Amino acid sequence: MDKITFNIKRVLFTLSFPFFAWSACEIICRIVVGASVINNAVDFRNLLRTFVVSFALTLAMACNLPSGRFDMSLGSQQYVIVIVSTSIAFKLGLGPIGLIIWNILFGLALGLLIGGIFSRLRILPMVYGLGMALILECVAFAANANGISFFGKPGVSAINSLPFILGATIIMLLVITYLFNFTKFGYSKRAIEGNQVIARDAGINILTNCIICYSLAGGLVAIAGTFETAYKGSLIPVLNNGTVSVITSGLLTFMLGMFISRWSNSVVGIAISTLTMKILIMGLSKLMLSISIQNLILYIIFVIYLIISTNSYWFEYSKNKKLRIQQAHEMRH
Amino acid sequence: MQRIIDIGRKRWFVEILPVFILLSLFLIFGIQTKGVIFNRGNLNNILEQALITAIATIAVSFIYTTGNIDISIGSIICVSCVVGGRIFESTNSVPLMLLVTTISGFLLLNINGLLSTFLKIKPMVVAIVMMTVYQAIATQVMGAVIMNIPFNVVNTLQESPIRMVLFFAYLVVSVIVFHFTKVGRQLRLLGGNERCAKTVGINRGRLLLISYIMAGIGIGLSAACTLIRTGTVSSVSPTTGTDVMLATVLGGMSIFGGHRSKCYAGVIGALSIVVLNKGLLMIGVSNEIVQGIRGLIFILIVYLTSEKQKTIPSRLDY
Repeated sequence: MDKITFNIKRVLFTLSFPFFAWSACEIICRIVVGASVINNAVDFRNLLRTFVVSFALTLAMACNLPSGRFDMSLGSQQYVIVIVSTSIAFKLGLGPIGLIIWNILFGLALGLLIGGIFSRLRILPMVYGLGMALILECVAFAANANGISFFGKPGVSAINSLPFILGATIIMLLVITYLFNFTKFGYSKRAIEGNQVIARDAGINILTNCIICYSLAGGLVAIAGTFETAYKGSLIPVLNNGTVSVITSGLLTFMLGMFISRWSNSVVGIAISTLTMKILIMGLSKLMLSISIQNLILYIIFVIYLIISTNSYWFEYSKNKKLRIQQAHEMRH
Repeated sequence: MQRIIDIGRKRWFVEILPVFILLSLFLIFGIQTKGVIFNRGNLNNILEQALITAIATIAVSFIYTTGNIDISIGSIICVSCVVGGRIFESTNSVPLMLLVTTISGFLLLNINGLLSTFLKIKPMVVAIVMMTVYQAIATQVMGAVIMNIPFNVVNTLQESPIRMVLFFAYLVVSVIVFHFTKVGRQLRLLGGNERCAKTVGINRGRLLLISYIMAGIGIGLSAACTLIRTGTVSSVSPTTGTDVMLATVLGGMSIFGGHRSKCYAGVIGALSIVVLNKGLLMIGVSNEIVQGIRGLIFILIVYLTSEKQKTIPSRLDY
C-alpha cells in the first residue's frame, strides 16, 4: 500500500466517527421525532459553542492524563479563573480578545503554581487533585459567593459569535498541535508518557515538563471556562467537590480521542472525538431525553467501550490459540 | 530533620498520632467555644455524624489497602438511600427500607468490584465512570424532589441502639477479617507489593473481589445509617466520599494501602473530621473556609505519610 493510499485511509477512518455518529442520530431523530439533528443556524451555533468548550477541556486533560496524572482540580481551576480573573478583566475594561488573553495568562500562572506545588509534593496526582479542588473551590467561593455574570458586559456577545468560536478553535488546534508534535516539549512529553524512568535517564527534566503541562492545562481550562460562561451567561461557585464532575464528564471524550489518535495525532483525535460526542449529545437532546438519561446512555456506552478495549487482547489470544491448535492438528496428521 | 522523619516512621508514633490529633482538636475547640462543644447535644451530634463516616471509612479501608481508590462512595450512598426511600414510600415498612438500602449499597459497590476484577478495568476508572452513572440514576429517580421520612419513624430509629449495634458488629467483624485472618494479611501484601504478592501465588482478582464484598457490606450499612440520621431522601450526593478520604488519613492509615494499613483507623479519623468540621463552624468560620482548611489538612497529611518519590507518580502506580 503506498503512502498516499495509506494517508487517505487514515483520514477517512478518522472522519468516519463523526459521520457515523451524525448518521445514526439523524436516522433515529427522523424516525422518533421527525426532525434533524441540526435543523437551523441556532442548532449549528449551539453545537459549535459546546464543541469549543469541550475541546479546550479535553485538551487540558490531555496535557497530564497520558502521563498518568489524573488532575481532578481542573474544574475548580476553571471556576477560579472565570470568577477571579474575569472580574479583574471587566474592571480593566478589556474587550473580548483582551478578556480571553487575560484569562489565558491567569490560567497559565495558576497552572504553573499548581504544577510547581505538585512537583514539590509528589503525592498521587488524583489525591492531590481532590485536595486542591477543595482549596480552589474555597478560593472561588470566597472571591465571590454570588459568582460572575456575563449579562450586559461589553464584548461578551462577540465571544458567542461564530467567527470568534471558529477562530479560537483553529488557533487552539494549530498551537497545541505544534506544541505537542513539533517542539522539544512535545517530544519530552511523549517520552515521559512512554516510560518516565528511561526519559529521566535520557536527560529529560521530568519535573520541568510536568510543571509546563500543568501550566498549559490551566491556560486551556481558562479558554473553556470563558466560552462556557459566555454561553450560559453566568457562573456560580460550588463546594464539596462539585467541580469534579466537569472533569469526569470529559473522560469519555478523552478516551475516544486517544483511540482515534492512532490514525492521526492526539490533538486531531481529540477534536474528532469532541465533535462526535457533541453530535451524539445533540441527537439525544433532540429525542427530548433528560440530561440524566443522556448521561446514563453515554456512560453505559463508555463502560461497554472500556470492557471491549481492556479485554480486546483476549479475542486476539483466543483467535491465535485456535490457529495454533489447528496447526498442531495438521502437523500431527 | 532526619530524626523527626525517623520518629514519624515508628509504629508507636503512628498509633498515637491520630488520638493526639483528636484530643488536640477537642482541646482547641473546647477552649474556643468555651466548653459549648462538650454539651450533650453537640457530642450526640458529633457521634451520630461520625458513625456514618466511621462505617464508610472502615469499609473503604479494605479497598484502599489493596492500593486502589474508589471515589464513588457518595453516589452509591445517595442511590441506596433513594432506593430505600422509594421502597418505604410504596410499602411503609421500616425493616424493608433498611434492608433494601443496605443491599443496594452492597450490590452497587460490588458492580464496581466485578468490573474491576472479572472485566479487568482499572478500579479508579471504574469508580469515576460509575460515580456519574449512579448520580444520573439518583437524579432520574428522584428528580428535584426531596422526600421526607415521617418524623416518628426517624425519631424511633434514632433513639434505638440499632446504629451502634450495626457499627460495633461491623467493626468487630472487619478487625477480625483484616488483622487476624489470612485474607487480611494477603490484602495488605497486595497493597504493599503487588508483584511480590503475585509471585507468591496470591490471586489478585479473587482478593479484590473479597475486598469489595467486605466494603460493600459497610457501605450498605453506612447508607442505612445516613437514612436514619437525615430522615430525607434527595438526589444530592452526601460529602461522605471526601470525608472518608480525610478520615482515613487523619486516622493514621495511608491512602495508598500496604502492610501498615489498619481498618480501625477510620473510627478515630471520622471523629477527628467531624470535630474539625463542627468546631470550625461553631467558632464562626464560614463553610467555604472550612472546606479550604480540610483540603489543606488532607494534602499535608497525605504528603507527610507518603514516601517521597524520585519521579512523578504515574499511571503505573494505579
